[in-house]
Amino acid sequence: MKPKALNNGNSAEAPSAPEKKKAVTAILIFLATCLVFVLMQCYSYARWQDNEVLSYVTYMAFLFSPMMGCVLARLITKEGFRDGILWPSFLGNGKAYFLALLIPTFTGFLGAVISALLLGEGLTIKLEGGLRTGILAILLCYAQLYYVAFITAGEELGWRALLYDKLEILLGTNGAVILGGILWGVWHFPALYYVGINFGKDYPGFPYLGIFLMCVATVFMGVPLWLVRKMSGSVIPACLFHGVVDSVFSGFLTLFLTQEVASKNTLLVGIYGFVLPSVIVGIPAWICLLRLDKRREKTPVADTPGQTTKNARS
Amino acid sequence: MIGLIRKDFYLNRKPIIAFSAMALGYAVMMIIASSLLHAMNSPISVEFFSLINTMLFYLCSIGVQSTMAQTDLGKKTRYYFCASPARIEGFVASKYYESFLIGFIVFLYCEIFDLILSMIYGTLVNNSLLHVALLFLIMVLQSFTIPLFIGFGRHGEHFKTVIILILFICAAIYGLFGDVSFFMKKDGVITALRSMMENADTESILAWLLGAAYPVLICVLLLPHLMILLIYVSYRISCTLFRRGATTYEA
Repeated sequence: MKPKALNNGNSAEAPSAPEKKKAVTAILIFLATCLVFVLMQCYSYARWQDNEVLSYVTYMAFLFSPMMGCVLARLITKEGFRDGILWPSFLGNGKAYFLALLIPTFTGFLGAVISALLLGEGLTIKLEGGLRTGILAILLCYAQLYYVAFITAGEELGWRALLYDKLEILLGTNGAVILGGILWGVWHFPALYYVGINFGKDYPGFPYLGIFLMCVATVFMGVPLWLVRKMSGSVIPACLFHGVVDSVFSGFLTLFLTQEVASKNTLLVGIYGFVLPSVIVGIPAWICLLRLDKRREKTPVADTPGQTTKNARS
Repeated sequence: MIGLIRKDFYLNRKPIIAFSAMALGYAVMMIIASSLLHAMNSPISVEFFSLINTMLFYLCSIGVQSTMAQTDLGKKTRYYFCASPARIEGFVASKYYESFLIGFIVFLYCEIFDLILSMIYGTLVNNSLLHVALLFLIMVLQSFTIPLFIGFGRHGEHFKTVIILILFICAAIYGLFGDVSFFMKKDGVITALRSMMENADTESILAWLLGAAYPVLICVLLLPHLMILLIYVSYRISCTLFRRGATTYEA
């Protein structure tokens, strides 16, 4: 696809050379910030595991490093914080918020069902106490959603509120999805290598296979996240979406998989429960994203960045 | 919208600066006091300092939020916003965003304060869940007060005081003479919340929830969503009240 400027996802004008230069600067600042914190987190996992205070501080700094990168990039490139992306825009964007809750719920459920069927567990509730416990577990995950969304905001304010938009200016929508997803996946390296999130540590090809699978999952999971961000013109639906992914996915898996099976097949559970549903949901979302871009090119452009065309027309 | 928020922050810069200066001064004092007490092996725990600090600043932030919510609610401003591109919805929403922003700044401040305390004491103080819960609680409180301010202008403050007094008196009478066993008993709401704070991991909370009574279950599991719903309903009411104009407030 021919690179086109979608300044903060709303302008369909071709990018000018200064815009491109500004985008490159912002991306470099953002990536440099993230890299510093990734290295610090690696060091923390390797050396400071015994010190709970230091490991907690570095872990929180690592989680919020994309947000810090976004703030730094916006300050240095003098882009500022006046655009609508960083603010909630509820009016006329109910659909995006609804999708932000629905898509990850469906993806998590789908992942749990695929895992249970392919690992030969069957679709019965494995939790002690049966269905009541299962419903409670899921409701509890949703009750924790807002708290988790606070933490995931640290990521989303970097990835979806800065990097994807800047990459789109340089590479177009498809390029931004692929490269942005890969960078987002690689950013998880400390947790993949030292903790073994999603895929464990005991599998052939560790850690390269895990990093590759994580990149596949993040490329496709990044699409619906960016879609809800673009639909609403705000990063808040993406934060909620990410919050549901982080809080509900594991809840659905514990519903259908016994602890024994899950711990024995960490790689397969990661593939069936996370990578595969991400791909299944990511492809239609990708089509929707491209259609949304085409529609935006035809419809009137918003007056200010971050403002939706719907609001601009009214 | 962003311009409206900036305007209110600018117009209320004096109370905000005063609040920030007080917060900073208090934090420095608390850090010095806690480090001295820690050096003297005082039995006062680090949690105590953290909780005192959290409660104090969330309470103080309510004052700042109320001051900001009352800014520019005169008749002329209302008529102006009815005709402006920001629209009534934008103006009313900006009041809620401001409250949230103040709460969020206090949340960040409390988190940083806890981290500093953790470094002094060498043990982790993590009250993030409590901070988020308080932030939501304050937003719920604001969802009651903002419609009052919008509906009654400066008299909203009097209404707020009267309502708080009535509620306080009712709660005190019920607390003295009513049945409070459901509140404090083993599977009561207080125990639930404490359990949520102390055992933030899902498994232990789930284990506890399985033994809890249905009212407590509903309270714990649906409360966050009901809070969001309440804030939205309050926002819609505020929009309607704003349209009607001030009935008792003169510009």
